[in-house]
Amino acid sequence: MLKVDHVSVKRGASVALKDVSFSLAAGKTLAVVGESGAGKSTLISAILGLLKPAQGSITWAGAPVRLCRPALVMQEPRSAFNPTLPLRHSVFEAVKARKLHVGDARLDRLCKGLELERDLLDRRPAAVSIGQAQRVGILRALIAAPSLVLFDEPLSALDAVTQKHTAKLIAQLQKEEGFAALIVTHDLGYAVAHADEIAVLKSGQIEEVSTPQDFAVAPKSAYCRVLRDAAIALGALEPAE
Amino acid sequence: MISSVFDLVLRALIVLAGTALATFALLWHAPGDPALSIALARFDTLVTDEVIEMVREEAGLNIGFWPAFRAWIGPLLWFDFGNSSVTGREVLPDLLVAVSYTFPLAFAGLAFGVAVALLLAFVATKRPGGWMDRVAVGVASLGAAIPAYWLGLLLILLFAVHLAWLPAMGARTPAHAILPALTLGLGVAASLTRIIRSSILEARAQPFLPAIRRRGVPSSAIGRDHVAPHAAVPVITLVGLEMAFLLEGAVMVEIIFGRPGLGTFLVTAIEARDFPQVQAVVVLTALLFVTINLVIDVIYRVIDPRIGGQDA
Repeated sequence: MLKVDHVSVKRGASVALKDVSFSLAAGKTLAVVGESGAGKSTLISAILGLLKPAQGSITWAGAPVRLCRPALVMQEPRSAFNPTLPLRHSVFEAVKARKLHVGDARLDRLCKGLELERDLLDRRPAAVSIGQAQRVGILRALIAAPSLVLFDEPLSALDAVTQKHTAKLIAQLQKEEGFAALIVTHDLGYAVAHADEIAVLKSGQIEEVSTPQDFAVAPKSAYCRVLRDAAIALGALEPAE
Repeated sequence: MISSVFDLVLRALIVLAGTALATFALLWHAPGDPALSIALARFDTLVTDEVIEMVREEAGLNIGFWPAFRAWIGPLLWFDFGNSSVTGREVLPDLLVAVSYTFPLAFAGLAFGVAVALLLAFVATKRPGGWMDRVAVGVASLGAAIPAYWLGLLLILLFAVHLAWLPAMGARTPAHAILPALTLGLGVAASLTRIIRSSILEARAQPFLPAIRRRGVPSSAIGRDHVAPHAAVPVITLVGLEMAFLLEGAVMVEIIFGRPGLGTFLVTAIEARDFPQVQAVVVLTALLFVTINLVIDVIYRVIDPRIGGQDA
């Protein structure tokens, strides 16, 4: 289980995260939503260990998160890869470095689940579509069977049709693989449809953690109501009956 | 890849042909009477109109531009630079003697400069902004601010005059090349250090690297696969340019340290208006520049296949 316990993170003189606490169990999905600058990407960096908390702790099964080798799916699929190397190098880099064995059957299953042709891996990032690049990013994240996968705005660079399709593929693969998924997103509709819990961040603080149903029907805080109503007005979220 | 290298070679040949034509035309149309200059160089001040006309005929200066160009370019394709208008000797053997002094000096200077620059850049990037970084950048800036002729004189004063460890003038032994190579190399190190430093820092800031680290890829593999190739592209460009400019820079250093070489060869040839010798040096320099650029372009394509549009 991922446990974020009273974490505060400073960026320069300003406090980017203030006393943030939540937990995420294996096989579950937590969507972290909030406006730009709320601290969502800072949270990802802190979980990955790229930013050291000024206070609090972040653990996976009681140990530092880095020991569970968390995987990250980045927002911009093309900048997530070394542009000079074939995608296959990026996908298998960590597998080779950690001397893990990934059988053909697993690769075939993941490629099938992500609707990727294996030959596509021989191309460089610029030679595939952005949607394909993002799916290769997900393949790279999942190939070594991680317990925790962090998704940083995984759909925002994709068009609407590819967004819907990719979201479905992520959900299917999570069922099969059983990893815990922390998804940072602006898309409240996606969060409500696919997450087990939603955490709302505002100015570096957790405003509310609730189930998607509670968030859609009866948000506790005024800010969450404003967020929900804005999403309904933009058509990103269906009005609750 | 092969077709793009073929394109590069074709372009290099066009550049060389253009350079050969421009060199010949510029010398041909230079102000003054070349026959007079050659006659003066050969016979001192005792020249009459008959002597000048004889020299004009011997040097092929009386047959018109295009016939003279054709007569020059044909043998040039087989590296036959003709005979000196002044001494009458073949140009190529004398040129090769000059090259045998200048090239080793230039390459020794480059090797020393690159080694020092790599060392300083690695020290500087160990902790960017730290005291070692500031010292390394300061040393590089100081090196860039010191002109080669002054640095050469300082090195002579220290190592030849005060300490008497190394010879100052001439080219008799390998020890004679140390101070000139240091003079050239420190200039190279100064300009390369800052470029290598900023290239390494830029390569380390690539957005995909933090996630790769967290997935368990060791630093050595990240350095080999992601940082070094990215940082190498601008560094190779500069090393190539430095290599070409070192051959020019060696001219001044040769004069300071009293060494024979291309510098002395070229200055003597220009003073005597010895067309075949001047043309030989210019064509050789152009050939070097074009070859170095060609090699750099091919290396680019190996390091980063996007260059040359291989992803298109």
